[in-house]
Amino acid sequence: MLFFVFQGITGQVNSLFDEIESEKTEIELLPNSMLFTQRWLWGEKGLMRKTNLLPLSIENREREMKIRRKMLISHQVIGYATLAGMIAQGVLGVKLYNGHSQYEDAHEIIGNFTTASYFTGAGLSLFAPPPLISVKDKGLTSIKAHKWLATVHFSAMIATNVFADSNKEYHRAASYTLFGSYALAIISFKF
Amino acid sequence: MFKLPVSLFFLLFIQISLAQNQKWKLNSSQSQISYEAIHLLHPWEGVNKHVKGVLLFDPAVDEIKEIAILTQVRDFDSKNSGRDAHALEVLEALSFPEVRFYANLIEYKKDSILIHGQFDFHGVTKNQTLIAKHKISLNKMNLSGTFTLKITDYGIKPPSFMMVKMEDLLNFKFNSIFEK
Repeated sequence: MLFFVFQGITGQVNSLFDEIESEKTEIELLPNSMLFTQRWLWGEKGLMRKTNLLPLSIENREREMKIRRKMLISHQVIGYATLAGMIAQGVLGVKLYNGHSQYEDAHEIIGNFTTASYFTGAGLSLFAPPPLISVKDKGLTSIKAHKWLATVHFSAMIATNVFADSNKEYHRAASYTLFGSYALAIISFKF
Repeated sequence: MFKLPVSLFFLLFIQISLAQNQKWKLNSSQSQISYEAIHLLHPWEGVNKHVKGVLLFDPAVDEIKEIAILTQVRDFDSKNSGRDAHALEVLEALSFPEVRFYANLIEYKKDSILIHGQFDFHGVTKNQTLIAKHKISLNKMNLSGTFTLKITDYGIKPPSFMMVKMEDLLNFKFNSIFEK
């Protein structure tokens, strides 16, 4: 008897929610837009899906979100280490331009480490699984600024390395552009 | 044998009393729920304008009897898509896409009403009381108020930025218009 009363009451709760849920929305597993690097690896026809390593499903996308989180945290940590490397390079570079040639080897070694950490950090961001949603924000936002500045400092990093031995003036100009845009990209990124 | 007709009468009574309640539907275009979250760097607000709901109103006693509210986690908009995307990851929105609130105990006070119900969020169900102001006209009912929620109570780890975690407590505001 009590069982039927209980069923009646819980049935009422479920029927209330049934009325609200009349329009079932399909869950989108991938965002509308993503970077080409992400699409190549994680898109519907990406490498991860074609090789069956991570077929598209709710469980696997949840797994990818954990992978994404780890990659982006590593991106941040390596990013700060790269910034420290750039500051060190700036100090050594000024000394070299002022004639202190004894710092040449140190500048080259730290330069190689900084370049390696830079591109590792960049790779972690470019190849991370895409977010669950990707919405175009109106106006200037921190994430937009961070991405725009990334194109500047990415080009400047390549130029800094290209001109390292061939043209000292261009090398210096590229490295200042690199440091300025890189530091701004870190500052502009808000939670 | 005498007990059987009494039981049937009791069942019938419940069905009749439930049937007397009016169903009022939430007007999603005029309703919203928002949260305020705090981090050391700055606070921010997320607004959800896609709330659905229904309430049962007993006109005989002029009281709300039950409320059911449903919304999607992904409909909260803090005007920063990166932050919202991160929020969906933290909230495991694929596995737990909805937030539900159901109440069947509404306490009428002098200037406000206390809505005692349960939140179903991130796979965890917890009791929650909302404090609301209540205005009713012929065909419209406005319920607005506030409540707080600790995300750790629902098994969610507060995300961090620059190695500082956001505050556990979220402050919510709601403004809902129900129509007959």
